Amino acid sequence: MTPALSRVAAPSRPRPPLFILIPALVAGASMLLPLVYLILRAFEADLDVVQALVWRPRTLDLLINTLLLTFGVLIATTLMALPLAWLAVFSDLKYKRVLTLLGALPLAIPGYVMAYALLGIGGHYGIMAQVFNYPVPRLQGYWGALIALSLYTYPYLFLNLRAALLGLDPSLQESARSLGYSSRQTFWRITLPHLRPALLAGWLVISLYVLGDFGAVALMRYEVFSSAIFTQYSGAFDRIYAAWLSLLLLGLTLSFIFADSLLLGSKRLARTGTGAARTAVPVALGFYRPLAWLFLLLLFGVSLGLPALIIGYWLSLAPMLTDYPALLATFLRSAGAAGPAALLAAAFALPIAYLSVRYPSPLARTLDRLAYIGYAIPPLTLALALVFFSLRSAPWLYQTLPLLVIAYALSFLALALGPIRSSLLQAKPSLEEAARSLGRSSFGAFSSVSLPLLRRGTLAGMTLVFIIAMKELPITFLLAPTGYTTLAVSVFSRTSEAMLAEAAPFAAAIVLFSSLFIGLVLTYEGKR
Amino acid sequence: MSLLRVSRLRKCFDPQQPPAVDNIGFSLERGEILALLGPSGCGKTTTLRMLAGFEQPDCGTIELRGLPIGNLPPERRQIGIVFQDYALFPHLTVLENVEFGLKRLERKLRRERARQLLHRVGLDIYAERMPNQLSGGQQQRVALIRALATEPKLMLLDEPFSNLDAGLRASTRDEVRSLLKAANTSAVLVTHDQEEALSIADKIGVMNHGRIEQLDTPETVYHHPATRFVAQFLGRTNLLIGQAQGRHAHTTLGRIAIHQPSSGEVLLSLRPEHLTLETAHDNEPAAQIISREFHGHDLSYRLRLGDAEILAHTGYDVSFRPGDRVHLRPREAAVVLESSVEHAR
Repeated sequence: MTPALSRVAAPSRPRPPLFILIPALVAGASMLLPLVYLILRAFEADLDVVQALVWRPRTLDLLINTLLLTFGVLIATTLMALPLAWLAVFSDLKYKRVLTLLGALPLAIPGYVMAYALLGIGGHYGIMAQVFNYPVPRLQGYWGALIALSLYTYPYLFLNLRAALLGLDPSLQESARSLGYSSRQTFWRITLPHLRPALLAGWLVISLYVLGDFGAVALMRYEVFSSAIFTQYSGAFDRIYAAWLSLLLLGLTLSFIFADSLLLGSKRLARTGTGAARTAVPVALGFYRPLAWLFLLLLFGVSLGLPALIIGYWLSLAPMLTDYPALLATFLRSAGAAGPAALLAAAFALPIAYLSVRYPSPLARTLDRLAYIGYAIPPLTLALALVFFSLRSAPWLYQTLPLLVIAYALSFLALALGPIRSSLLQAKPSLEEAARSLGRSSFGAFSSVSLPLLRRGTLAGMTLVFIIAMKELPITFLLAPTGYTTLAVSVFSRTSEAMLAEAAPFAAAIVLFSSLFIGLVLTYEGKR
Repeated sequence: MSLLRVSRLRKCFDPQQPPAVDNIGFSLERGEILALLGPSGCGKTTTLRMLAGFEQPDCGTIELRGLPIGNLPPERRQIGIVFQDYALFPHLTVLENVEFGLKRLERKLRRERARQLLHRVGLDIYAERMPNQLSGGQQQRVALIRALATEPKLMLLDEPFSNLDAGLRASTRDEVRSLLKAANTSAVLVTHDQEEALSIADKIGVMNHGRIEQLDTPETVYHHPATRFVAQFLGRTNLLIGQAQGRHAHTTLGRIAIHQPSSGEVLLSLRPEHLTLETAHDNEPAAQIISREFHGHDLSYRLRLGDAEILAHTGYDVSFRPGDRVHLRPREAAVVLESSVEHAR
């Protein structure tokens, strides 16, 4: 029998066990189902009505405002993150690790807390008027939202750029110098092109945040899609227009993702040599040193000092306003939703990660993508989709804690997926096969060998979800049961009613707690 | 009845490519050790994984003690396996690793039995350590004992010595062989190292392109290779073309003996150590020495004969210089690998 004549057999792939496949499919379905409902709801209305609703100047205004804010934040964050990353990697400044820590720390201050801090400067009761007797107008609208969001999100770009600069082969720059380029020319012609992937990745994360943000824009009273969705939904109760705005926002988000992958292209900028990477020789700042210090002072002063100062000021001003039992109850409510969400996210992420690592197939890839789409969907869109879903198909879920937990889990599933996947990649498949040959069933092998090895990754993923869900605002605002106020909701509602002193303890609790998140991110980053 | 009988086993991963395992079959008696030997990509590991139940064959049967096991999941086949990377569970101690397979025993008996087994390979003092605190050779022994603890009917070993350094390899090889023999456990091992296969196995199956080209004892496979691939893969050899007539053939070396009667054009294999050098006489075809290597206990010569280059390993007492013209004399009959008229007896 020659190979050419032999029967062509279909390739037989090993099939994933059902205890993995079924939960993974359930996770995927729960991601898709609400979106289907959102689309159904949006197309429920007559086409004429929809056209009249959607094609009006207000929609265009919202689109322009959203794009202005997004690109404004991208420019502002780049101006902050790029010099900082360069200083933190290449300069001869001392304490570069501290620089990195300070650059990451604003992540602990959510956009709405940043907005709270900015609002606390001006106005009649602002710190400028009260303490310095020098009243300034309140920072509001476009510039307020831009500054609040930029200060909160620039660390995402900074951390990406720093990692890319650290990974840059110093001999590339040295070759350029020896070929006659000045250090400035080298930066533009060699370093910057190599930063492209990191810039794009950072920009994408930041634009997802800006598009999805609700707290900062609402407090700054700047009309973009997300705040309009909320007003439409809660105030006007015009659900069809809210659904259409959500779809438009989703489309905008998807086009950002698409543009990002288009710009990234298929270019790979990997090191070609195999030698061990050396660390670059620090660049002497010399004449520019005072300028660098001024930059750092300004950046950290505004992004970290200002919120600390404002929160501290209001706390000191009204210590008796702090109702500690109420604060504790609020904290527990936040934790009571974030904790189960972390568990559920891990329960969804485990089978999806397992499927995509051990049984790669088009289905596994699709489920994996769905998890990341869940992260990219603007939170308000996801929340609204779940409202429609529960109202129509599961009214017993509407305005219950379980629905809030499910929404958190779907939104932050991708965060749990990362650490679980990397620890799964480290656990060799031969371990499970050894357990099988020693008499364990596929489920027995999974639970006695793989699961214990995944414990660290799973815990890390759960912690990430827990901490980020603790400070989540838009989903909570829409889906939380009546009276279920969390820390984030407390800060937001008190601030929007100009009760800055009453908001301070809740803001302080969030900032302190979120600092844990930064610690976690940095431990991960340090290990790389 | 054979312990293991494999027939017409086939596995194709990609319809565009030739099958990874193409219609192979063999059988194994109780207590026998079979080595599947071949270059990487020849299908030997796929065969092993089909025996273990980690890959599903496209067609063919696997019988263990007369019972078909092809449809059983790995845990019900009673086949143990030692992986190339040993696959010791990193979250369990050495003792717990060995206990892992003993779940049919009572908990108390388990511990005792595991200790006994560790004692047998001299590792009982490491019982409480974690696997990563052991050396490669020790991990290898734990993996073997862990698999043997379940008293499998058949043991599979995937490149078992490739992760050990050269010094440790020979002694570990002996130890593994004697452990398997002591337990009277049949084993199939997969390797690309011919020396390993020759020294440890009772039978060798030489695989190429998904097929077994020859399956026989190490001696037969070495001395009487069936195909050109087997002759070249196992040790070094000189390939000659000759005109056969009965038990002799005319070649560039002159008229030489062949191991089976043939006629017509034949491809012959002559091992370098089956050649010796003599001072050339006028009427004989002479070869010229290109280079010589002195190894102490013997010598290697490279020679030019016509267009061909010949390799010869001779005894310590055969001493010539490069440039000398010599006569090559075979000490054994050449092996017929391919002939136009087969077995003209």
